[in-house]
Amino acid sequence: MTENQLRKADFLTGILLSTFSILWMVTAWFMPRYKQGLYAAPGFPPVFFGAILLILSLVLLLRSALKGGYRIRLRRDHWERIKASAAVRRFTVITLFIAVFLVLFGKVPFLALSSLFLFGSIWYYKGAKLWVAAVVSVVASTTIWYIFSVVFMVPLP
Amino acid sequence: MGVIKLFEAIVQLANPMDLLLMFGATFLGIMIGMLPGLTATMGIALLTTLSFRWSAGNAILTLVGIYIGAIYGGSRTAILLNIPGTPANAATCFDGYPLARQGKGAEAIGLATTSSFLGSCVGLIALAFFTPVLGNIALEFKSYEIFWLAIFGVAICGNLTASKDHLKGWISGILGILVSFVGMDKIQGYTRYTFGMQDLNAGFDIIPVLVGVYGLVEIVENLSRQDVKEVVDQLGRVIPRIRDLVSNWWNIVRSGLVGVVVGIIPGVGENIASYVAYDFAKRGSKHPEEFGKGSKEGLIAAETANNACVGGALVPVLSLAIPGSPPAAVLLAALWIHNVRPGPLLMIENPNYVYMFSGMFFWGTLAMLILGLSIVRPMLRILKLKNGLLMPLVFIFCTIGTYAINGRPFDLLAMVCFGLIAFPMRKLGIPDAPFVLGIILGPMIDENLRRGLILSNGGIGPFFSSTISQVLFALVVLTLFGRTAPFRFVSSSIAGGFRLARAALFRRKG
Repeated sequence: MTENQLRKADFLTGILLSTFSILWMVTAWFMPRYKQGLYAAPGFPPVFFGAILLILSLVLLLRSALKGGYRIRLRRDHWERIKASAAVRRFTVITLFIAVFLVLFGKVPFLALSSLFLFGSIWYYKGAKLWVAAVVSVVASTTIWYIFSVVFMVPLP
Repeated sequence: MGVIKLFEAIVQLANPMDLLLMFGATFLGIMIGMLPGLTATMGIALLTTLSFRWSAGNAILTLVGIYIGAIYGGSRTAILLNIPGTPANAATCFDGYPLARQGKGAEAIGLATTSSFLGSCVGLIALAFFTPVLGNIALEFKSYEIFWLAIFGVAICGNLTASKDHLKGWISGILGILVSFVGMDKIQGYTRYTFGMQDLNAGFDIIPVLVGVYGLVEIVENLSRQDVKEVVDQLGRVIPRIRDLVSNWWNIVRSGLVGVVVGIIPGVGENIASYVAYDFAKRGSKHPEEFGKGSKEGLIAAETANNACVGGALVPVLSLAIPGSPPAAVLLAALWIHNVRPGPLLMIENPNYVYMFSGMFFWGTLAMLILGLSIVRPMLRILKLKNGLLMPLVFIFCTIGTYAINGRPFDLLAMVCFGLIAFPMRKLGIPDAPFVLGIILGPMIDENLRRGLILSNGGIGPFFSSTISQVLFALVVLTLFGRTAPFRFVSSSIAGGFRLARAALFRRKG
């Protein structure tokens, strides 16, 4: 990120964090209070540290605003650049792979799921030739399953 | 007298069966430490169940080997992949990974191994000779002192990891503390910020957090890039140069002492020891600008301290039956299972046990050095693997490590969520280490702050009354404001005053 981009990002982060800290403190404020006093309430530390975060995020916001970080404009070419970016495509694919893995975890036997995940991701990211990807995915999944399931007795789905 | 007893114990354990067991256990510990998600705590817990029917001597020997090996083993992935194998090795990433990227992977692993060995030696001395004395120091830390220590940990970590912009480091630390409040509080048992989700009642386990923040982000970042993996020849020697060690002798001693002292304090673990030692090393260095870019001093400090902390954490285990760190807590339970009763009466009932235990620690330390230095070259091949092949495999290990802790899929979801939080944080220049440390120390801060206030009926005086509290408070203030203009003006004025007074004194004498 360039200095200019970072300033704008800091401005948005400042807004996000100060909103988060206010919501955090409001939630804590409504937590129950006990006879020992306000300081013993479960909401006391969240309010205390939430206030510190609010102050720090306001400093971040103010600092970036003074340096012109509030001048944020979204242009159409930004989106087009993002859409055309290979890094974004690769990021989206691995995020999807991980999401599918998590959704299927527990529903599909671990051995099959991890073999499929490994084969798919090694193939897509060109980690090895197709047959090597197939061998690695089966051998690695079986080894991991054996060590954890049989040796360490960790119940895997 | 103590030296002779320790020597006797070492000789007694020098038989083929015990040595084979110790080397095997240490090797297994190194492997456990190397896999992201599997920690020393988990390794000891798993082996406690497996060694349940063994004789007490063999079982304890194995568990000590696992502990030492795992804390050291995590440095491998920290150096080679920028993923700490265990929380104790998070500070190792700062300089270990940059060294590997400069083609000094072999040297970095060699230095980490030697530093871990030297750190373990400092821990061994503390364990064998100062157990009764040092155990009492730990009892001086009450709620007020532990609160300040935890605050100090987050503050220095914020400073260290965001050297150009401390504000972002502190924001990260406070954010971590806030996230740690999720779940049931320890004083009244009230569930906070769970929004009806039962899985959140126990809060976030540290492993999903750690794997998400470090492991998942590294996987996603590496796979998002075009495969432009730098093929860096890891030339350089494995055995560190004597001059590197000699020139760092004070760094090693200081980090070892920091590790031991932090280890002795109940509940504070190896991760904090390495951060604190790293901070001390940076402040005391002639080249602080090299820290974070591949400084050998930084690497040595972090690795010496986390292994010295192992010895330190075992001191209160033996002398008071209070664990100094989470893995030490599991080890304490294993001692009880095998009918060893640590505590104040141990020195009366079984005075030689401390030396026997220290003898095991000695052999574990030696096994770590020998195994550590002999399996460097095969490990370096990891760096030559394509990201497209390596990262999916690392993901599977991360998933298994995270799932194996509690056996619940929710932890995997938490891992991904923390990865999603940490990914933009990294892009925005907000360091992730204070966030993780905040989550680790948050419960300690919460509990001790409120307990302290309840004990003093809301008064804040006791938070500043003891000498330890005052020193820790001063360190916190120095950490937060030490580099601000007013503070620098005051400190330079004081230094100037001292210089003038000294000059006047010498003139008068002359």
